[in-house]
Amino acid sequence: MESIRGLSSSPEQAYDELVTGQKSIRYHWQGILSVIRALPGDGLSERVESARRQLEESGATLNLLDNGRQTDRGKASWTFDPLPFVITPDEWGVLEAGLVQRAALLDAVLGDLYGPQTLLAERLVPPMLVHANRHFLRACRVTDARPPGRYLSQYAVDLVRLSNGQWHVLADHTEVPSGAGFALEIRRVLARSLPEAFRAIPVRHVRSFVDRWHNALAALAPTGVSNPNMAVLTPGSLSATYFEHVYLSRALGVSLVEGGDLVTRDGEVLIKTLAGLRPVHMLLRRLDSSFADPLELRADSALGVTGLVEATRTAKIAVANALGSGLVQTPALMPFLYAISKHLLGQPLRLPSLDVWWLGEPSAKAYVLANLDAMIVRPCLGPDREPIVVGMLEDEARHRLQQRIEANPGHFVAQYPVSPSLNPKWDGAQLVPSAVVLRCFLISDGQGWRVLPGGLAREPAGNTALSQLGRLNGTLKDVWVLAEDAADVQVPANRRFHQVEVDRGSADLQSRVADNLYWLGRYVERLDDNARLLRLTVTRVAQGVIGVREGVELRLLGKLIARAGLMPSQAALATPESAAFQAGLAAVASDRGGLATVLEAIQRLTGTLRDRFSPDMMITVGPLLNEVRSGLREAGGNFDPLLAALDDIVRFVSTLSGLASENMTRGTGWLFLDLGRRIERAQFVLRAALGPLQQSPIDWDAAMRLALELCDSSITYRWRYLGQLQPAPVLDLVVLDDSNPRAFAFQMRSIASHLDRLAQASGTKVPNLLEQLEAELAHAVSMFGGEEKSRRHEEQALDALRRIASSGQHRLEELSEAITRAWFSHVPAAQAVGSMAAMAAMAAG
Amino acid sequence: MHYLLSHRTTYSYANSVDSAHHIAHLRARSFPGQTVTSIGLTAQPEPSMATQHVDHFGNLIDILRIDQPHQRFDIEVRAAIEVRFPVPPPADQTPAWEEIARALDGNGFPKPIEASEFVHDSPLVPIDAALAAYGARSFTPGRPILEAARELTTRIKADFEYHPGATDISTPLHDVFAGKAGVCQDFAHVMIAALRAHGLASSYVSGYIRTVHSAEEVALRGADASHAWVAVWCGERAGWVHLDPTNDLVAHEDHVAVAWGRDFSDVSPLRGVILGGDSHAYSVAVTLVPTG
Repeated sequence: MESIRGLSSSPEQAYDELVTGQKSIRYHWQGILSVIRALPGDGLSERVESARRQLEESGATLNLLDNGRQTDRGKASWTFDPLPFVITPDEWGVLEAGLVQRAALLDAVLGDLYGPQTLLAERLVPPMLVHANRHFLRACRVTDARPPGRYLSQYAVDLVRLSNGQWHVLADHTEVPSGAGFALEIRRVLARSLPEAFRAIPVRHVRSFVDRWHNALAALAPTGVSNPNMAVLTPGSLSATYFEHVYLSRALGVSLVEGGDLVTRDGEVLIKTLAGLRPVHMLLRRLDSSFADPLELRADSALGVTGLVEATRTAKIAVANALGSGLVQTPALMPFLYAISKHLLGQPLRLPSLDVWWLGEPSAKAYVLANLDAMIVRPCLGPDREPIVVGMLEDEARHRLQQRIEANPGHFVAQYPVSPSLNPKWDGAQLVPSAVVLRCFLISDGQGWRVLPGGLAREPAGNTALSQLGRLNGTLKDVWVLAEDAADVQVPANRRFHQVEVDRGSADLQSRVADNLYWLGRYVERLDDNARLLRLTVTRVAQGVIGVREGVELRLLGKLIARAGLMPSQAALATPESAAFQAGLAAVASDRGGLATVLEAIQRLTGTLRDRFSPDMMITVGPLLNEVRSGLREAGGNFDPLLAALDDIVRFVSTLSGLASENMTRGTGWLFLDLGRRIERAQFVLRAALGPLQQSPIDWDAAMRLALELCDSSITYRWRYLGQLQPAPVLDLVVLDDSNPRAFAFQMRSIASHLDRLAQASGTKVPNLLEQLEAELAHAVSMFGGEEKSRRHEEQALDALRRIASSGQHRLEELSEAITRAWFSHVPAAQAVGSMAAMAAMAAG
Repeated sequence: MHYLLSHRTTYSYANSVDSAHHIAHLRARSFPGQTVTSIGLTAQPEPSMATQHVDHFGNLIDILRIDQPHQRFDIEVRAAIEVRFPVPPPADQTPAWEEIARALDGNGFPKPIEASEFVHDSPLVPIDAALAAYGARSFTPGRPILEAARELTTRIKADFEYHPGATDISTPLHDVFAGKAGVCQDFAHVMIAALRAHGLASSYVSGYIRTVHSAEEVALRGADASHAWVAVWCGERAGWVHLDPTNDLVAHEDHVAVAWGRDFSDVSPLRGVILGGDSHAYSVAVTLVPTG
């Protein structure tokens, strides 16, 4: 194959993963290469295309519903490469032993530094690496409390192979070791797009690792808890690795919670659910420690759980990794690990780190300053960890760096640039060599450490392999650990089964999730209502010549538009030809307009609910939402494209409704989603059907037509009454007919039934404030149907309608508040006292 | 000197607070120079959980949780304390400050380790060039450490205006220094920054200072307030010397220490997270009565 020959151009010093010094293909690469050669059709390109699409759809590469800055939205954070990193069983065995030792060592170092600190007294760790380290959380070193059983239970590590073929540690990740979810997802996708390879080559499976992880986490739970309730603690959907948080919670079969979902009581940590507070025993922490508790850690954190630190001291909750575990990931510790290993483990360190100089030692500083131009300098104790490639600095910047080092040498480490080994990569046409950093993952169940037989291989972005170590960027690929023989491949899953009670999870729904689903329902309906309203308006305006009939309708529509807050009243009520009206219409479609606000809310809520929806739903919703938004933006105020965009919105809503109705179990989650829709629609019907009719009878014809159209009931009406427009039958159809899903009565039936079912599931009853409303409405409608059509009669009927419309709106609002009180706000929002301003006077000596 | 102390803090809330967590650094600790003979802490409403710990610095902390709805929270500590800070050796006989700084650096392995923790910048006391220059005027080459530190104390008292309300705890130290006004914790932070800029170890001490000197003055009860000053590491022989830049004093019998840390944020007397309550007001009443 032509393309493979290109590899001989690899840099002289770097180790070549594919080709030996004698220019022959290494034995363990021959299998994969022959599979690639034998691919039919377009070969690898086709498979890459399919894999990338799958990763995009699952949200691994692309944040489908990213709320981030406009420029970042929709941009892939990394690219997928199909060529795996392949590693032989022998080599893996050596690496594995080194990794297990290092994990145990770092755990022991944490135990010492948060405990007796013998490493400081024995001069094995410079005290500054603890005292000036931002990851040293003093609140987690309360000297009289029980220390956590263990600090590390998950550990990720970045490795590079140097030119001599030896593996070296580039970085340790102990605070929030991320990436395992991406590794598992990349394997799933690659196995689907390149199945031939997995049939032909004995690659060790990674799936059983997840089962082991579940067991390992359960084993960490406090003693005496037989069936621990576990959860992944995430900072929320704005986190860069939120995909992984969702992925892990699904793969491990545990809930995904945010700090706001949790409270502490009597040393216990509890999840706020519909049914009240439920204990949780084990948190897989993906939230930075310093944000985990506003009481004892960062007081400005809105992401944490008040009292979490104290709860960990009582050992009724296990947090993995323990709070403060980031302390040992500073590269400044690396040069000291050799001696520490002998001291704490009584063993020499098996797996070397890259040579790192900690500048707090005068000899190291002198050496580094003498060779500064050839080195990479990194801050090692504060929040800023980005490497500085000294050789690339301007004179002045270099001088400033030197000053910073002289002023605070202990805050820096330095090292030489590394040439990671070269692994083949698919550039779209051929295989090319590219630098590779290997990330491995380990978990512990308290008995021992296990290494994921696989991992993530990464071609780093940026000008050094040390850039942005905390993020996953650049090119990511699968890691294949080859098995001795095919029999090794099938590792039986050994998830430790305990008696799990059948539970449909109805009352377990987190209050926050219920809240978000309810509002998603409301916003989706609001979007539909607004789009229909605007569509009717634009259709009439677009006709060009506006007749008397359209004029009346437009006046009524203008009022509804103004009431919905889509345009300022002045513009909405102006004549359609006027500049004010045209400008208003253009503004509605703009990024700041009323529709965009609703679309944004939907985008935000679906983002936070990512873990509640099936992948199919997310795959459909994300791109559609983006299309709708860009359609609107492009339309501006032009009628034809605007109409098309509004049609798209209506279609988008019906797609979403279809997906929800066919893919969601009718559990409490769905009830809240639908409750939101019904309440919002009930409000809309009251406005759209009754609003225009409240005008003078002269406008009634127009009002009736609009009521039917806005409630999507024109066809039914024509079919039932052959087009004879009269108030009583129109109102009957859009208000009283509970077989019409657009009618007010239908909303009321659904609301009543949902409230009943939620009361049963949660044990909390919300009184149905709408019960009287239906009888009142029926009476008012009957007044229109009277035989004698006197002026007085009509006045009375109108009066009744106005009263009902306004009290109905009021009662719907009250109901919404009652729902919020009953199910969403178990605990009101927290605020800090005494931490800032109050203290000034308090300690005013 | 023996004292009876009462320190009462009250929070009043505009609306009912559903539940509250508080963490208090209110129990005075014992150490050479101070003996706490009895101490008790009470809170209203009755906490549903109350635990005590010894923190990283050896201070005593109380963590309280109140579950019942309340519109007012009272917490009071009462203590009997005997104070006699050791008299430091004559200032001119203390080691040169560079010698202390060298030991605290120790080429990465400082001595003593415990003191070296107080050399680094901390949340409320960042490294600041202006403050380093301010300190440098006292820390001239070869000068005995206590002599220089004592002079710094005097200069701060002279250069800064005591002005409650000029700052609050969120005012950055740099602005405090530029404004040359503040309250005791500002002066303590200024002094700490100037010392640390020279590689010296200094800690923030929270506590009280005697303001009444006889039984007749008891009318002033409750008018006292919390106080804060600085402890400076002066070498093995002199140890930590407590200096009060607000009053230009060496602590001896008039100061009662509660807790120490790197700066105010490590030892704030009382802070909490409440649910509900809307706005809140607080009041503090301290009475420190000498009993001979």
